[in-house]
Amino acid sequence: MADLEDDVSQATVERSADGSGPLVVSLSGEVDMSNVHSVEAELRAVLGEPHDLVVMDLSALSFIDSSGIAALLRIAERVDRVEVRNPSTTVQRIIEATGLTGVLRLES
Amino acid sequence: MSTSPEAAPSRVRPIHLGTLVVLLVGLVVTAALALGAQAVHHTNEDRLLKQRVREAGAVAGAAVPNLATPLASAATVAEVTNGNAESFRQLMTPSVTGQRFISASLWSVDSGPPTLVTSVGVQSELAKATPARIQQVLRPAIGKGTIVIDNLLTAPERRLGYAYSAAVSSAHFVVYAESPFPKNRRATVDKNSAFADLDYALYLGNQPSPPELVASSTGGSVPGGRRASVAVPFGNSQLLLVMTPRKELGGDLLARLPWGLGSGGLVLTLAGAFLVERLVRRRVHAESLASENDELYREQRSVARALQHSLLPDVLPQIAGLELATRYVAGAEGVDIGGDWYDVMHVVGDHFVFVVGDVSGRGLRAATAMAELRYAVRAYAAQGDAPEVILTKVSRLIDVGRDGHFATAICGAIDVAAHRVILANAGHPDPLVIAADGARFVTTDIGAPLGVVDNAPYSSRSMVIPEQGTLLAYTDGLVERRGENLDVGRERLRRAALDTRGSVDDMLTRILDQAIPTGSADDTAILGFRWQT
Repeated sequence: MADLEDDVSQATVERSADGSGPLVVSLSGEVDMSNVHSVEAELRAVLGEPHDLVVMDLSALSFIDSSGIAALLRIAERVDRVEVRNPSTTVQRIIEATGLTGVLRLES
Repeated sequence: MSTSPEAAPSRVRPIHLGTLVVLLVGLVVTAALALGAQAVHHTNEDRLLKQRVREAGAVAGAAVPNLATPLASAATVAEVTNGNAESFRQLMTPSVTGQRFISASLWSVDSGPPTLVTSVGVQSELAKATPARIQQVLRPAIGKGTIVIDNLLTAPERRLGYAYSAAVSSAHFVVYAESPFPKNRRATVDKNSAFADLDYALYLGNQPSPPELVASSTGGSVPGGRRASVAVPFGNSQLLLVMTPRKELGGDLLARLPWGLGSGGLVLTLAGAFLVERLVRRRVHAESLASENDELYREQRSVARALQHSLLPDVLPQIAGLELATRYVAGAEGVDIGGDWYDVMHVVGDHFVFVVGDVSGRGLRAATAMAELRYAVRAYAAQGDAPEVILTKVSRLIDVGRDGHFATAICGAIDVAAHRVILANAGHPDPLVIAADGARFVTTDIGAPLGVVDNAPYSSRSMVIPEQGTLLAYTDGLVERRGENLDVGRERLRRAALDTRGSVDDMLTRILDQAIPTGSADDTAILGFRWQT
């Protein structure tokens, strides 16, 4: 059982105070099955009210698995438009390979 | 858990060995400390008592000259004045009225029986005695210059008599005096005295025998227990001083130390044993809980695996001209059932449809969504829908916002005779084709995953796989690794697939050995087929 706990990923969600611009949420660490529920709950808490546009800053996100992607997609359902900022090549590759470039668009 | 561990029938459990050892060691150490302290206390008390008795002996010894001095003076004066009675009375009256003596008398011992010259104070016991006894008392003192003690302690009036004569060879006179002693033999020590904390008994002679008791603080012999004695020279005899402490001479603290150590040690030992017992019981409980959990974990895992396999096809269709193999490898992590699946179904003639898919997340809901998608794909394939149509239709059955899951899937229509495959892709990893000229990933039109975009459009691409070529479709568990780019995993798979010796099943075994590190977290489904011609 202990090795399962050792594998629990770390992820932090922060809302950046970006002045008048769009709402920016930063996601860091690794998101997978072991922590996706807490990460998603935190995302929802940070977001609060529905928004027109949410920018997800993924520059500090090192890994995301399909359950993490699912969490991002569930969040995306609640806002009009989600944009992804500065994903690592690994994360961007996962988004591309999963055919989600149209849903989790790179920031314009 | 259906049964509570508290409901165990027996609550009486034996004490553990470790506890008994702690108890035993604690008691032994406590006893040793207490006995050691007791021994130190005894030695200390003995030494203190001896010291005090020596001091008391010195004090008593210093009192003897007070007695001897007036007698010696009187004896000398008597010899010089040839027994002048007036001089004797003048000299001795202060001593008799001063309570040192109650009687003093001068005896002539020139020739024949001793005769009384004069006396001061009350009549002496000696004067009432027979001439023989008088002779017996006075004779030994003549010319000695030392006090000769006459023991009158057993007489009705308890007294000691002292006979003294000048130390000259031709002494003519003996001075005789008597001192009174209380009838009850009791003489208490002054409270402010240095010896107030001791009981004493003073004996004449060298034996503490009751008839010889001069005086004591109790009126009798000293109480039993610790005692010490000292001999004090007293004329031609001696005094024996026996003392016993009334309380602890070294103070109460040292006396209480053995008890303090004993009771403190006992309490500590009991507390220690109690603590050890609790810790041991807790550990035993934790161990049994851990093994119970381990058992449950394994059981749940095997249940999950069994359920997983029951949701996957039992038997794959036998297809003429096509060699088919599949694998499902459970990830190491957790006990939850996964959402990976594969399927192959006959459509018409030598046309078949295959699908490999992956529902995001794990657990019963993911598995249920997987089963739903799998049977939907079978239904649409059976009615002759093309792969891109099948994906479009099943995409409506799942919604990430509603169900919490989405799915990726690769769906292909196989035309065995034409060696042709038409592929549609909903966000799924591209298949790998291995032919004589090498291994390469098929380029597909990657559409959105199932359940993410309403009415998602899917398109298909048609390709011909060369003779005896192999196609591998798989889920991301085979290529996706934490901390590594997807392309690294894809390249690892491509290299592992270059070795096409043996059956497709052999190939899958090799690929899984090389591409999946032990302890991989994710589940992996893999399907491979190869043209037989």
